Amino acid sequence: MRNFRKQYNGIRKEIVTEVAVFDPKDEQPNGDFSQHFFTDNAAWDTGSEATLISQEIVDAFGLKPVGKGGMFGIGGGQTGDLYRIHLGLPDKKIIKNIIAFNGGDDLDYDVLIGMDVISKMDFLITNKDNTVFSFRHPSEGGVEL
Amino acid sequence: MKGLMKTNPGEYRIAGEAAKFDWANKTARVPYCRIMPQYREAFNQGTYEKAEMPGHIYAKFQKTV
Repeated sequence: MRNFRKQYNGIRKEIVTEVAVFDPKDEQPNGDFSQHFFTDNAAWDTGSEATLISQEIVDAFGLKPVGKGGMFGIGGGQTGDLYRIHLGLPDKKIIKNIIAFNGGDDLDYDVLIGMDVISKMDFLITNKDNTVFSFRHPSEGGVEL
Repeated sequence: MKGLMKTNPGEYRIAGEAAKFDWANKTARVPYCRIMPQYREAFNQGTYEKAEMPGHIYAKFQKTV
């Protein structure tokens, strides 16, 4: 299967793509799902250890918390609910069993993809004239610049 | 564009698992910051002095020039 590649117009200050969020409880025996939450507003953040999802996604599925966790950002810490999700990446591959923090109503993105996902793939950004973002999953290594 | 949508059979396929969540640690660094909407225009114009938001999604900016 081809690797995912997206070329933006100009140089971007953020990497934003589409993703699909799945409720693990919806998984059928053959690996299919009946529905997903699609958004074209998912940011990739190598500075985040964890993945965040918006309150809207939590509400859309009626997700139940699987735990609580402390989340420490620039301004300090706060305890929040954790949810288990599957994440469909732009290459139409699903990464299972992500424990995602609820980013609440204030998240600028519907999904913030953290290193719990990025660390499973090869991830490349180039910026000659235009920002080009590409990744492949699973990681095959061997990329040197 | 966003919202709940019907998933067509075979549209997505399962490819792997996320990195194992560290339940024992119970914390994660999420150095994500945002600009409060009411400060966005001023931020873009470079005339803001401070935009601050409490909570786990937190942004604090100070004009330096």
